[in-house]
Amino acid sequence: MNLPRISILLAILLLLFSCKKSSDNSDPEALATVLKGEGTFIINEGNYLAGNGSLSFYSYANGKIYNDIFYSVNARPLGDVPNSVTINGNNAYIIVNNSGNIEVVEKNSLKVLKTISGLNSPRNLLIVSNEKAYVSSLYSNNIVVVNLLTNSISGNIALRRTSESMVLVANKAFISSWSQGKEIMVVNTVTDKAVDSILVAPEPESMVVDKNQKLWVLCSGGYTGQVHAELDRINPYTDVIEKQFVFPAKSSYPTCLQLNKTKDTLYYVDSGLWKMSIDAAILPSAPFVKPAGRFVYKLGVDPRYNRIFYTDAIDYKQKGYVIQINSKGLLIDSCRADIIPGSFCFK
Amino acid sequence: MRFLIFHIILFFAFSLSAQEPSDMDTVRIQEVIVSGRPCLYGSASKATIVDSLVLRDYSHNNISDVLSENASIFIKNYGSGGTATISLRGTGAGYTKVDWNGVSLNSPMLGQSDLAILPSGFIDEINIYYGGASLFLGSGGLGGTINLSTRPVWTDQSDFQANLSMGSFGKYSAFLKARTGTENFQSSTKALIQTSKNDFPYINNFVPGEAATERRKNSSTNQNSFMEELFFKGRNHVITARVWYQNTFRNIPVPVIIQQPENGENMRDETLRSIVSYSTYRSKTNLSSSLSWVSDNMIYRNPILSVNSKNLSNTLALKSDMERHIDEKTSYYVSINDELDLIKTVNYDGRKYRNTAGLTFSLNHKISNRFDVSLLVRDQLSDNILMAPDFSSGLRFILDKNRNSNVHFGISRNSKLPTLNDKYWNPGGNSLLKNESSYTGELSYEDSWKISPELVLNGQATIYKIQIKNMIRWTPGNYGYWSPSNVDRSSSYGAEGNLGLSYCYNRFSIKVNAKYSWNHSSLINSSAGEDIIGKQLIYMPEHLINGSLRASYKYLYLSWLSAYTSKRYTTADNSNWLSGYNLNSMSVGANFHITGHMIDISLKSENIFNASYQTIAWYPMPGRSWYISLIYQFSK
Repeated sequence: MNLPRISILLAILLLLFSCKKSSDNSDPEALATVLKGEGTFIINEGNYLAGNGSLSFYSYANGKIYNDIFYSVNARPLGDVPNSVTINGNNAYIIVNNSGNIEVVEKNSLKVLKTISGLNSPRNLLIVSNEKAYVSSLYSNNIVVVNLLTNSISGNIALRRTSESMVLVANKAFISSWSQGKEIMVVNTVTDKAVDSILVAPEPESMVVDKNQKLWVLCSGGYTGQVHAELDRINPYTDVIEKQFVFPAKSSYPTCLQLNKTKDTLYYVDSGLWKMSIDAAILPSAPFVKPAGRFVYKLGVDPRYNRIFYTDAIDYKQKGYVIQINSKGLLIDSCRADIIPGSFCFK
Repeated sequence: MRFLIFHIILFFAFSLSAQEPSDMDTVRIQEVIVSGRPCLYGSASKATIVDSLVLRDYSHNNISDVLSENASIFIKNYGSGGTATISLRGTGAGYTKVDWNGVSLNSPMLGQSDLAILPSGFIDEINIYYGGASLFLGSGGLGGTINLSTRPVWTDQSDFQANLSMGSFGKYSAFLKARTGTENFQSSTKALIQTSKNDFPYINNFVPGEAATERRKNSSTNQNSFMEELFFKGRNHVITARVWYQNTFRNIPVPVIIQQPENGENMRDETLRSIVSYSTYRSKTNLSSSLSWVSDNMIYRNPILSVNSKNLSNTLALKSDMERHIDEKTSYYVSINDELDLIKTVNYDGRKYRNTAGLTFSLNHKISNRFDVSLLVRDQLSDNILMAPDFSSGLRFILDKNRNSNVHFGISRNSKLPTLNDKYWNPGGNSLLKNESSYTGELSYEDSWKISPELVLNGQATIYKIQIKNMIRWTPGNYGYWSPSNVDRSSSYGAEGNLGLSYCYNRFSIKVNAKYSWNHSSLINSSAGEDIIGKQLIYMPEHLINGSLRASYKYLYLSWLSAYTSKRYTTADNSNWLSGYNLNSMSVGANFHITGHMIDISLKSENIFNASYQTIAWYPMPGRSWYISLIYQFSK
C-alpha cells in the first residue's frame, strides 16, 4: 500500500473545503425613526412562486433606501409577488398578489395590524370612502369590497371581468379590465354595482384623472404586440371617449400612466420615460428619458413635490434600481432596492 | 485480442458489476456497457456506475432519490413527487442529458428530464458520464450524461418477483418483475403501480400568525409504468426490442408562502418509449443499428388561471455504428445518427419540427503498456446548418496496472442546440439563437490498494473546469413577455473525490464509501451587469458530501447513508440563500432462500433525524418517513 499517494488524495480533498458568509445589518431603532418621516414605499415584486417579494422605503429625510423593511419589523417575509401599497389614514394596505393577502400595517411602524387573506390574486386597492375600499383581481371576475373599519372582506361586486387599475370620480369607480380585456367598467360606489362599461383598446393597464377631471386610460395593446397601443381621454361624467391617441408603432408597449403635481402633464413608460401635456394634440415623438441600457419597469410621481421615480428591474433576477430624476429628466439619485422593484406609494 | 474477448464476454453474458457486491465506484470507461454492446470511449473521461446492488434499495423510489443519496450530484427537487432535475458539475439541468439505453429522454421542448418520474426499479444500472465522456452518447451533455441501462441475463432460468411496499404519507407501491427465456432468447417484463398522498406535515412559520404544523396539500402522485424487453441472440448477433410505457399524474403543490389550494395545478405525463436494435459481432468488427421512437404527451392544467396546456412531442431517432479493432493497440469507432423532433403544442405558432444528424469518429490507441490516448470528433447538422465540430481527447498514464492506478487528462468541446421552446415559444421564442458550447478540461487520479485479501481501499480525485459560452437566457423584452438570447458566459470549476473501503470475510461483508464534491460556478460575462459576475449561480451548492455504509451478514443486511448539501443562493447577487442540510437514511432487512424461493423483508427510514430543509425556496421537504417492503421471488 502506498501511503504517500493516499496522503496526497486526502490532502486534495481537505484543501477543497471552504465557506463564505454574508450578512444583513439593519438598526431597528434607526429604521423606526426613518419610517416616521416622509418618503416613498417601493414594492419589490420578487419572482413568481419564489416568495422573495419585499418592501423598501426611500427616505426623503436622508436620501437613503431601506430594504426588506417588512421582514425587519415583522420577522416574516411579505409573501409572493406583492403588487401595490395604498395608504388610508394611519394604515397602509400592502396587496400581496400571489399570496392572496392584504397586509394591513401601521404606516409609520409597519407593524402588522391584520392580515386579510383568502383573496384571489388581488392587485390594487382603491379607497372609496372612510369605510370602504375596492380590491381589483387579476384572475377573479369580482371586485372584493373591504370594510376599512374592521379590515375585513364585506362583499363582492360581480364585474364579470378581471380587473386592474381603479380611479374614483364622484360616486363612480372606473375599473380597467386589463388582462386580455378591453373595457373600463363603471361601478356605482353607493350601490356597489356595475352600471356601465366603456370599450377601449386592448389591455387598459393604468388610469389617472387630470386637473380638468378627465379620465386618461393607457391601453398597452396586448402582450403579443399585434395591436397598436392607445391613450384615451374619457369624460367620466358621460362615459364618452373624447380623444384617442394611437401609438404609431406596434412595438410600443406603454404602461404606468402617471400625472405631475399640477395634473397637467402625463408620464408613462415605453422602454424609456415619456411625457406629454394633457392639451397636446399628438403623442410625443421622443422619450423624455431614454432607457440608456436600463430596463425601465415602473414609474411613480410624488404629487406633493413632483419627485419622479422609476425602477430598473435589470434582469428580474438581481436587485434592481430605484432612480430619481427631476422634471427635466436629470438624474438626482439612484439606489439599489430589491428584486423587481415595482410600484410606489408616497408617504 | 484480450480487449476484444473481454468485451465480447461482457456483452454475451453478464453484468459483472450487478453480480458482485460493488458499490458506486469510479471505473475505467472501457469497462462500461451501453445498449448491450461494447463501446470505445475517450480514455481521459470520467464515468461512474450505480449498480444493481445500490438500486435494490430503491426499487420503490425514483432515479432522483438514488442519485441524490449515492452520488455527489445536486438534485433540484420541488418536494416529494415533484419535479426533480439534475445538476452535474455546476451546470444547469438543461446541460445534463438523461438517456435510456442510449436514447435521449430529455424533452426536446424543455431540454431537460424530470428524474422524479423515472422509477429506479426499471433500471439495472446507472452510468454517469462526466464532461467529454458524454460525447460518445451524443452532443448536448455539457455537464454530462446519465445513462439508464437495462440488460439481459442469458440463462434458461425463469424468475418472478413481486415487490410490495407501503410507507409514510400514503405511499403504496406494487412492483412486478418477470424474466424468462433460454440462453438465446430472453423476455423481461416489469410493471409498477405507485400512489402517494404526499400529505406530509411541516412547520409553517412563513405566513401570518403563530407557526403551526400544517400538511402539504395538492401534492399527491399516481404512477403506472410498464416495460417489456425481448432479446434474441444468434451465433454472432443480437436483436433487441424494448417498450416502456408510463402514465404519471401529479398534483403540483404551491410554495407554502401562498395559500395552498385543494385543487390546484396538476400535470399528466403519458410517455411511450420504444427501441429496436440489431447488433452483430465479428472477429474485429462490431456493427450495430437502432431505431427508437419516444412519444410524450404532457398536459398541464391550472384551473385558477384557466390554463389547459397540451404538449405532444414525438422523437424518431436512427443510429448506426461500427467499431473496428485494427490490432491489439488501435481501434476506431464510427457512428451516424439522425433525430427528428415533431412538436404539437398550444404554446407554439403551429406545428414545429427539427431534424438533427450527427457523425462521430473515435480513435483509441495504446502507445505503450502504460500510456494510451483517445480522440473523438463529432459534428452535427441541424435543420441544414452545419455546426462547429465537438471533440474529446485524452491521455491516460497507467501507474500500476495491477492496482488500477492511473492518471488521466482530458479536454473536450461540447455543444448544445437551443431547445424548441427557446426557438418557438409563442410569444418570445427566438429562432435565431446560436448553439451553446463549452470547453472542459479535467485531470483525474485513481488508485486502489489491496491491504489484505479481505480489505480493499480505493480512491479517486478529479479537478475540472468548464467554460460555457453563448449561454441562452430569457430576459424581459419590450412587450410584457420575455425572450431568449445568447447573452452569458459562465465558468464552473471544482473537484471531486471519493474513497471506498471494502472488507469481506466469510459471509460478512462491509463497504464504506465517502464522496466529496466542490464546485464554484458563476457568470464571467453577462448583459445583466457587473454585480452578478463571479457570484455563485443560484441553486448550485458549493459542497456536496456523501457517505454510505453497507454491511451484510448471512441473511441480514443493513445500510446507512448520509448526504450533506451546502447552502444554495437564491438570488443572483448571492444576497439570499437556503441553509445547508444533512440527511440520513437507514435500511435494515433480511432475505431468506428456500429452494427456488426468496423472501426479503426490509424496513427503511428516510431523513431519520427529521431534518427540516428545503431544496427550493418555500417548498418544504418531508421529515422522517418509514417504508416497509416485502419481496417474494420465485426462480425456476
